[in-house]
Amino acid sequence: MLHIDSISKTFDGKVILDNVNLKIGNSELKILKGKNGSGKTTFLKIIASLMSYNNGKIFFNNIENCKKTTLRKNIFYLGDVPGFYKFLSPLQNIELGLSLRKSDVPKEKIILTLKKFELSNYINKPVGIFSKGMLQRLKFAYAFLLDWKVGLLDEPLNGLDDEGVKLFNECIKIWIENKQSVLLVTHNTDYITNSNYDILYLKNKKISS
Amino acid sequence: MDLLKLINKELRAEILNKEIIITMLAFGLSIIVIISFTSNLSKQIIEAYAPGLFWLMMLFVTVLGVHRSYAYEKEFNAIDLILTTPIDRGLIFIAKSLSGFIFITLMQILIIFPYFIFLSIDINIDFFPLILSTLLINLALMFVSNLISGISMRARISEILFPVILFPLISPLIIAATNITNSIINQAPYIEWQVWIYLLISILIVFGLSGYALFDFILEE
Repeated sequence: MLHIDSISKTFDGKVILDNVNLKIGNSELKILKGKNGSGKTTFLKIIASLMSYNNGKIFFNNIENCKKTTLRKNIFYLGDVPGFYKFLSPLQNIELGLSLRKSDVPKEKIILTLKKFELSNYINKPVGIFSKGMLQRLKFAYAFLLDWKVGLLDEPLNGLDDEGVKLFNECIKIWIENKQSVLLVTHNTDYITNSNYDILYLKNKKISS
Repeated sequence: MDLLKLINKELRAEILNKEIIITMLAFGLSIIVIISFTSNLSKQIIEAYAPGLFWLMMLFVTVLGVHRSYAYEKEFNAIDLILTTPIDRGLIFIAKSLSGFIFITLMQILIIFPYFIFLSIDINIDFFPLILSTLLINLALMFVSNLISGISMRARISEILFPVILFPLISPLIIAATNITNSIINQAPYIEWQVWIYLLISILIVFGLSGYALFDFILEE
């Protein structure tokens, strides 16, 4: 489904990624590990067409260098920063994101999803008052409502309590069943050791298994 | 349709925060009061300098408003919510420019009468060309400042970079705006100031089109 072919990226003359390759098929979850500053977030942002790159090709469904809008529609990036407007409520943030993605999701379904992620008491409160864990839950609720093919999740487990991790695992299970694929960046060693998924390492500017 | 959604978001942000209009208004009114109480100039001199003073005030007000508009995009990296959607990013530029245009026009409506009263300027002019040219200048102010603000947004020193790049680039617009307003107030024949109108239209086209076309690349990290 997604094929990253020899992607390279330099910042101010410093090579961050050097001919990085990766293939992600349907219903796959891959975990990407690497030291701080190794270029994991940069790599995810390049795939999500949020960041430019110097060399290489991105194939989506065997189409070389798809339109950015096609990639942004099918590849969903969930960053390690909140990515929501502080002054808007969870409902308003999600409605804005969904409407710009032209996803016609009824308000009732959004409210039900927010309840599922235990945010029902905060539906109309501004997101600015949320804790880190609540923001992570809100991100999952948003990702849960969207229609995407490949999800790029950058440190989604940060700030989550046990209940939150459980909810996250449920999401992963549902996404994989729905033939969606996930590339997950995490430093959470417990999560990595307890999972059976492919683990990749970003080391010396390249990805290895 | 996406444009309307984005404008709605900008207006909603201002209705909830009330930061842009209040900052603009407080600054504008303060300037008027300071000038009216500290200058001891004749009426003729005041009237001759009034348009320049007005547009200089609008320039600083624009800097405050546009800077605030991009500051809340950076808080929580909120702009990612929009950047991760498959919309035409040029529309973000247009939405920010149009909402800024609404804010500055609203501010001018609130400020114009205190401006005339405090500076004791006689209002005996043809309002139609004055209003029309002011609206076009407002739009041009927003196109230029939003393009520069978008460019400087990702920089670590965006607070310094924004005015440093903006002021030299926007100077021709402020000069044109001052000359147009001055000529209308003095009822000068159009032929004498049409060159400034051409300059204004050129700025609108160049910055409007380049902002729309380049915003996708500008917002890319």
